[in-house]
Amino acid sequence: MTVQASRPRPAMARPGGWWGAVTSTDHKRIGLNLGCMSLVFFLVGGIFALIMRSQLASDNGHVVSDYTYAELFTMHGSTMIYLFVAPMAIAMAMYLAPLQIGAVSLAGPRTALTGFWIWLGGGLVMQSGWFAGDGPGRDGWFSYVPLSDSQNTPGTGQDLWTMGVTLAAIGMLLMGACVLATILRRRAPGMALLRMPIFSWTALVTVLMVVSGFPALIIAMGLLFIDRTTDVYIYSGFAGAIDYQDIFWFFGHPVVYVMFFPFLGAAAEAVAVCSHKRWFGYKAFVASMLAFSALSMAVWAHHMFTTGGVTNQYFAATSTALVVPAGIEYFDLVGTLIGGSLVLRTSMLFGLGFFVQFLIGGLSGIWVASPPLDYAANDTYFVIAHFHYTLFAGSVFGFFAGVYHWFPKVTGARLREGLGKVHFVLLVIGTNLTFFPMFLVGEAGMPRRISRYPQHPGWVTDNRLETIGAGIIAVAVLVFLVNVAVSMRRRVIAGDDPWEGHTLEWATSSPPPPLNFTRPLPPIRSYAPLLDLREQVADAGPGSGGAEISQEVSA
Amino acid sequence: MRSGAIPVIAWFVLNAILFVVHLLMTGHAQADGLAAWLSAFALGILLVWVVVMAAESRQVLHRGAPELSREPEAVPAASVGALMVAFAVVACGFGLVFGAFLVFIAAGVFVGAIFVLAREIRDERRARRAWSREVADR
Repeated sequence: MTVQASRPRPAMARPGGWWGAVTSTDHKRIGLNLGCMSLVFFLVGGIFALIMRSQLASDNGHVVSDYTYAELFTMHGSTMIYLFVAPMAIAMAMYLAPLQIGAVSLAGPRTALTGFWIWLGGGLVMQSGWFAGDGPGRDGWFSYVPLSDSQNTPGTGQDLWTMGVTLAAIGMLLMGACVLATILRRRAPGMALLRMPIFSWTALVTVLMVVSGFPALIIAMGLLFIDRTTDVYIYSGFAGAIDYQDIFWFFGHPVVYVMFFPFLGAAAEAVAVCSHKRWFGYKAFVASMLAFSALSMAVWAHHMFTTGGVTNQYFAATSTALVVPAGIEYFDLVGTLIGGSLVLRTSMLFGLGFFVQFLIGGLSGIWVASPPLDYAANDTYFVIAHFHYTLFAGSVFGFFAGVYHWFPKVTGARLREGLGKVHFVLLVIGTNLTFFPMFLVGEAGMPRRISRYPQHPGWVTDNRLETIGAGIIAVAVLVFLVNVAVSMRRRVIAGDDPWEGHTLEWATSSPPPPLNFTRPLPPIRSYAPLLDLREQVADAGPGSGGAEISQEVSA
Repeated sequence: MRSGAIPVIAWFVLNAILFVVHLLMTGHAQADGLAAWLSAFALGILLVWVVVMAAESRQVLHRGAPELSREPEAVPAASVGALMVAFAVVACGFGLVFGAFLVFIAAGVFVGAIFVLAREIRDERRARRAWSREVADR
């Protein structure tokens, strides 16, 4: 049985060249475009971070002015969140989820294409603030009012930032809605919900959060824009400031999990495939994903403990409850590793690195989920360390696990393992050297968002270590870029299924054809259909008719 | 598609439980400012998803694996109209900050985009009908 033959889909004429790439409604092309542009923004945001770290290398740095420093931390955070990690999560879901569920195309492909270009336009509008007379946004990636109102932050730079964020959010919402509709409505025959691969489940809960949480950001930014540019004052007084924070964080905390779940799924897939074993505790994992994502919609006001405007008990309870589903994931990880025949490929190393380092971010999250402790840690470097351990040491490691795992599928070529391991080692050293000392200076009370700091014992040393660490991260990213360039130039042909993958994307060619599958799909009896086939062959034994199945898997 | 709405319903229920717990812990909806309304807003979005999917086909509420569909479906390979809509939206947004002339240009592009999209959808329907006839003739 083939999807193609059973459900014919007449394809329209395909334009080629750059115009084809720009107007293509193929989910793989949109996903690749989104991923590549997100990566460009990652490099831009990284340069902002390096300049900030250079400023903080000494207590009285003169690399940039206080004003420029405020612009840099605002644009670093905004670029990384709105233009790199969140869209990269959607890009991975957009590229991979349809392949994993056996869909031949995206639901609402035009909407997804529109969403991509609106998002990119939003990113460019946001960055265009650098060319405005008063510079770009400078009120942090959350732009609290009244600081961000037109009296306290006048000028077009902040207006461009507000509009850029609005457009980027609209774009991501449209793309997320398309991925959600695809997973819900376009699964291949036989692909029941509890046969969807791990990554597809993480993509599903991610886009559920996108469609429920991102409208709040669009509303918050739309109202802020009206507040700034007209005589209508929406966020006035104490209540207005709290209302803004409520609306913003109703998006702002779920987006942390939008930036986490797909990378968790990528790391889990890489670990399972490199362990030559199916993911342990599948149903518990799916239940924990649903609970995790629902809880993540109910914790946003832990960012507002110190405002006195929210019920701290409720938000502390829900924030602490997150350890239960997170614990299930770690339990499943250990269960997958036990008894597996482990191959320490680069994707596996990044997958394990993701789980180990995210643990530090997660455990420090329990600390700041407690209001009395949060009162002490609020607005210090402790919080910076916490969220960089979740978003960089966690998500970015999961992202690289996914890149090393799926690069052969996307390009048809393998990344160099040697360079990949150098990349991994440098990134582990750089990440921990940069972010761990932040816990120490944060606990000693160093506030965030300052461009100069007093000569407190240890602060200069810790900050220098952080700057050196940031440099090592930059070198690690360079090694990755070199790896991509070398691997694309001198291609080592990967074949369709170089890792003996478990899921349907490995049952098609590398890179996949326009309508994803030209060969019959294997029978879908579990969340690892290709592994099922291999086990069937192994059970049948040599010369018992299993050869055809084996051929089908490795065709 | 069979069971399509079930994850959304499950997620809706989990969120609704948390919403009720929140209300119980705060005492009344206004105690946390907008918090309760934001949760209700998100629940509303999820409900709309379920209702729209169920209105299209009741199958989405039933358990089980998706079944084989033999209905032909046209898959667009490219869309200039979608690109034009995006350009119009971004130009409008940028124009609201930079200058009203961009908003007028955006309005013009948007009208053009509607025509292009209408043509694309018409071509898609024609392709689907032609394919249906071809399949029926076989």
